[in-house]
Amino acid sequence: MNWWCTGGQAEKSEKGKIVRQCLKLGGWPVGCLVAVMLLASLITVVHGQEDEHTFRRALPGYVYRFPADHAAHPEFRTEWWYYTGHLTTEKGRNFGFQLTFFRHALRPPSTQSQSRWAIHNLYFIHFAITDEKADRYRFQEKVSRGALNMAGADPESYHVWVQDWEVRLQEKRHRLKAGKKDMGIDLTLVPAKRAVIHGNNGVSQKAVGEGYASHYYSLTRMQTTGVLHWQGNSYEVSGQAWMDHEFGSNQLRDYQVGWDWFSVQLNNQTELMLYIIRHRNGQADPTSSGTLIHPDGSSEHLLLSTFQVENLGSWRSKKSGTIYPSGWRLTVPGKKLELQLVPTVKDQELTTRKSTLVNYWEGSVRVTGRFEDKDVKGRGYVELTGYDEEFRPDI
Amino acid sequence: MIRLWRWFCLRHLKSYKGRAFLCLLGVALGVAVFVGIKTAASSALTSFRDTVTSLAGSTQLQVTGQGNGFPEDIYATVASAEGIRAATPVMEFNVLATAPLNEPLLMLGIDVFSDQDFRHYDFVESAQSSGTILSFLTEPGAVALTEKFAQRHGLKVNDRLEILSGAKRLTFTLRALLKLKGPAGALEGNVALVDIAVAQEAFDRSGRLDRIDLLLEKGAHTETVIAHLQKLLPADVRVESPQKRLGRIQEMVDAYRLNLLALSLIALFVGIFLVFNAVAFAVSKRRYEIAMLRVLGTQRWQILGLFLGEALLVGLLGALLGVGLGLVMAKLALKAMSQTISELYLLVRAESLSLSPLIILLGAGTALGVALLGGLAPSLEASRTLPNEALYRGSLERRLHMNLGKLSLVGALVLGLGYLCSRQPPVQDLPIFGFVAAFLILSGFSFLAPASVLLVNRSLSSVFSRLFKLEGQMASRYLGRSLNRSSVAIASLMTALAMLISISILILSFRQTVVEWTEQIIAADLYISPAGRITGQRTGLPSELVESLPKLPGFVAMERLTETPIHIRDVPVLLDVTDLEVKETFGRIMYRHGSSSEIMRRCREQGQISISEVLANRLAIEEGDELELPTPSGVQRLVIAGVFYDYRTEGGMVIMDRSTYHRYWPDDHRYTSVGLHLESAADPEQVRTLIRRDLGRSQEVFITSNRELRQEILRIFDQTFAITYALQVIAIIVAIFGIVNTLILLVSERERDIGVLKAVGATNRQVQKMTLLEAGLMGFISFILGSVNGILLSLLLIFVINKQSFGWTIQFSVPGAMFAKTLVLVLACALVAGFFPARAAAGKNVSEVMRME
Repeated sequence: MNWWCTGGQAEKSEKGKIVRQCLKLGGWPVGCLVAVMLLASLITVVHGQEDEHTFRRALPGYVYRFPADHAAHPEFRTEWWYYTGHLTTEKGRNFGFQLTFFRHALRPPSTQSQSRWAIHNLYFIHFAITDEKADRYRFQEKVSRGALNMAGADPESYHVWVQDWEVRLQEKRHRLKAGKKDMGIDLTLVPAKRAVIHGNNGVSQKAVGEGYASHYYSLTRMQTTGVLHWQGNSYEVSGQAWMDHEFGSNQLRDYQVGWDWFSVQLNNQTELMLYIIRHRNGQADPTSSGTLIHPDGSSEHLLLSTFQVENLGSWRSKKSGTIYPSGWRLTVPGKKLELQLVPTVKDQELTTRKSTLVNYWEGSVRVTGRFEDKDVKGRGYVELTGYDEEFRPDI
Repeated sequence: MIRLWRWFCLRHLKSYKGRAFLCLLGVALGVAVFVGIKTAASSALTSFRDTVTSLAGSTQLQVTGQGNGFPEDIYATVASAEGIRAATPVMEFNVLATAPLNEPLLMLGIDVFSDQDFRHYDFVESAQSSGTILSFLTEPGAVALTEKFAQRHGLKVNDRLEILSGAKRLTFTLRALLKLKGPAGALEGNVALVDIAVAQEAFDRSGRLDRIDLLLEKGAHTETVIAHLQKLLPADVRVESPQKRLGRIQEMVDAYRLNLLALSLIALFVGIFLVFNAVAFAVSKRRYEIAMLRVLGTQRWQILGLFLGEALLVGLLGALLGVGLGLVMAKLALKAMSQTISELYLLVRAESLSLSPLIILLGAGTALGVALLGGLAPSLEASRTLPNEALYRGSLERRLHMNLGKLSLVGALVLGLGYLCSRQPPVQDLPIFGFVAAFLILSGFSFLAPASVLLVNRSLSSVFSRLFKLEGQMASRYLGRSLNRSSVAIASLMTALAMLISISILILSFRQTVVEWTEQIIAADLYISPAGRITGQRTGLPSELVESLPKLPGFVAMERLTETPIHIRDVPVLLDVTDLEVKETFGRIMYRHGSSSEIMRRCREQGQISISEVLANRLAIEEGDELELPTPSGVQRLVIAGVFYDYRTEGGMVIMDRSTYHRYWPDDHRYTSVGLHLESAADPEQVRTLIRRDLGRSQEVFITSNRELRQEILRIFDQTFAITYALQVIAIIVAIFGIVNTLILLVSERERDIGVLKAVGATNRQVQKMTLLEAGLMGFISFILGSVNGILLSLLLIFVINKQSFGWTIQFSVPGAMFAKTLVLVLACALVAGFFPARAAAGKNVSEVMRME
């Protein structure tokens, strides 16, 4: 799941409001220009039906093929590859990381241009490190129009990059590289389980209506080794990561403001993914759902009616003024699953100035609880979007 | 003391308001020129610096190419190079918004995403913004303009903007407005922004970039990064910091400014004489009062203080007036100055003066200095007055006669020193010693003036008395006897005339040289060039147009020119690529040695080059040497076949045959202009109409005939020197004030003599005639001395100062008509100047002036 679809919920009048709020500071920085542009383009999707012929929609019946489906799908408008993980140094120091690659098409893939600078796709990368011991969190971002192949997403074999930040598939290993000496990673991820396809019949529904969906799968447990650069030191690290890959063309409806998304890796080799899409009035969208993944790799689709998410606290960002939930209880009564999630670091907010100017919270959490009457613990990542809506003037 | 000064000096100044004002004006004019030129130049430079820095933003290094930019793939190389934190590509176009806007615009093609680290563009809120912002990035022809520019021309979002870039007429759609901040605030808001892809496609420059701006990694060493990048990049691509680029241009502007400032110093020099005159006048007028003060016990230093105080007052008022006048002048000169910078270096729009307290203080200080310097000698003389001496007049004249030998010796020494200075090499490319020599020559002649006046006067006296009878004889004698006063007036007029004459000789010689040069160099019947060509940008003519020219009736041959600005050893040079075979047949190049056609043949057949004299001087190279040229195919060492005279640019020039150019610049197929040779029977006007008809509306070119082009060159020439004409006029006005002052002084000193003359029966007419003759004689002697002095100065200007600062060879020619005109002018002025004193002299009451005896 990802942040930018927050833009998609804005309807015409709302768009004007956001733009105006954006302008309260006086002028638009270019970052805002990009954000508004994305917003505008997403709205064009919702209201301008002609684009439906130019971009493919996510419809039931999609058949996945791996590893081909790891690579880019330019026939869809938006696509992202999303890695989160928990790393431990040889001395036992814990770090969390997030590395997300985004592709967003501004023109249908068939468009021809003379200039190699003409924008067909925009590419973003968000990269964050959480230092649990020091209670520190930093993020970096990159944005590029992909001119001169300086950024891109290969549709043939899995390779997505913006300059020297990249992910590529080497045999079965996912190779991630990002950042520099003060904050960087160079990791190798090997999937321990097969890919889990979320939703039903190859599509993950995001709203009521045909095509308001995406194709969404995860590699829920990847053995990770490599090097972490942090504040001038380099650490040999190992741990476990989670990969999401999602692509679609128009997913959200204008009444949807954002979502809460959870991924949990338990020490009994079970994983859980849940998302709740929130309506403007605070209600959860009926398409909100989840997936429970068993140690043998088999999975079960969870409907909204089968689980509850309870907020246990809140946290206010000093940077953006946004108030986010902080701490959760997840319960799936039918599976005898009850978990408590506590952020490892309170402040894991991305205030993306360069690429999108959207604020969201994406952070590592510690997990404890009971599953099938046994104590379990684990790690997880939580993503919270759409909470900054009312606070946009603070941007 | 102050009370005494108020009584003694202010009363005097009040009673001679007109005269005090003249003197004040003289000082003020000198200061005005100084303050005016310096302020205008520094304002133009400030606006230039602002433009460069606001466009550069936080850029630490810039990668730039030659006229045609460089391949865009270089961007990927540079962006990923070691030590580079961020890189952003920039396309730059100097375009002309077409009528009715008619304003130059700097159009920047940028990548908003990577540009964020460098600059801050602020978009203005508008109702339709969000949709149009998206189209700004993706729609061909979308442009953003500054609010200021849009408002001035009543443009609104979604309006169309038509521009001329080179020969191309392009239409853009206004999709967003920019606030006047950061880079958008450069050039007073004449900035247009387009997406880089839009820029490449609209201007047909896909695949090429003009510039890459860079930020360095923290702790990266600039020089190391430059050296590293330079190794990765082709030879024709440069890496340097914006500051360095700025500094280089500043040096050139400094040289330009120094030349003008030197002229203002001459005006100030004349000002010194003027103050000298005025204070001397005051001293002589009040010699009786001084004697009385001395008798009453006033000390010498008090007398000195009194007169110096008077001089200072004149200086102070002159400074005030001068600074005011100077600022008015600066406002007028600023436009011309920023135009010059725009033409030579970079588009600049300087509209407001930036006042520098330093310049104003310096100007005011100069005025005070001039006043003190001018007032010192007569004030000292006043303070040395013995009480009894004041009652007799002759003693002072005797003192000067006794010192005549010493003065002349000093004059000769100063002239000798001036000669030595004129032989010195330039200091940092500036002819500092040349200017010192000019000052020494002027000073030397001033020291020699009394002796020369005596000499000339003696040799003229017999002719004069034969011509003008008794009055002539008397006038000549008087002049000889009042050497103390008259030689000062003559020296000041001489200085002004020397300046007038020397600069006239320089300009006329230069103009004559240019006329001869244009006649040789401009051989084609019609010249075609892009209409929207501004500053530095060397956009090409449409190739279809060039290809269609041979089909025109009466076509014989065409010479296609491609201009590319390059750098050789950090010196900006214009590379002129041409079809030498055509040039060889129809025209010639003025080489300093060797036959034109022989050199051109060698350039054509052996791939050699010709370089301009300016470049040869600057790089200290000559015929037969090899010159290293940075080209896209690496650095090439080419043999210099010949050195030619050229007066087009202050920078150097290299001429190369097209075949050689295509060997090393294989990607550049622009033609920046074409010279068309027609059959002698063909009508150029008709051909011009035909070309225009075929062109259509999407393109615009200038088609200039042979004669028009020559006229245009001379027009630009005359415009360039307009400011020097203004300075000459000022110097003449100052000098004439000097003559009026001196004659009034002489007449007043001679009151007693005139009384005696009248007592022994001289008529009013005779007295008048005598005074007028004396004025005429003074003018004539000034003219003779000024001419000699002026010719010497002009030699210095042409062969030392010009050669050192511009490196041009100017054929020395002495225009006789100019001398005749000057003589008439001087005599007329002298007679007009003498008219009022003459009338005053004639009107003296005999009994009143005799009473003292």
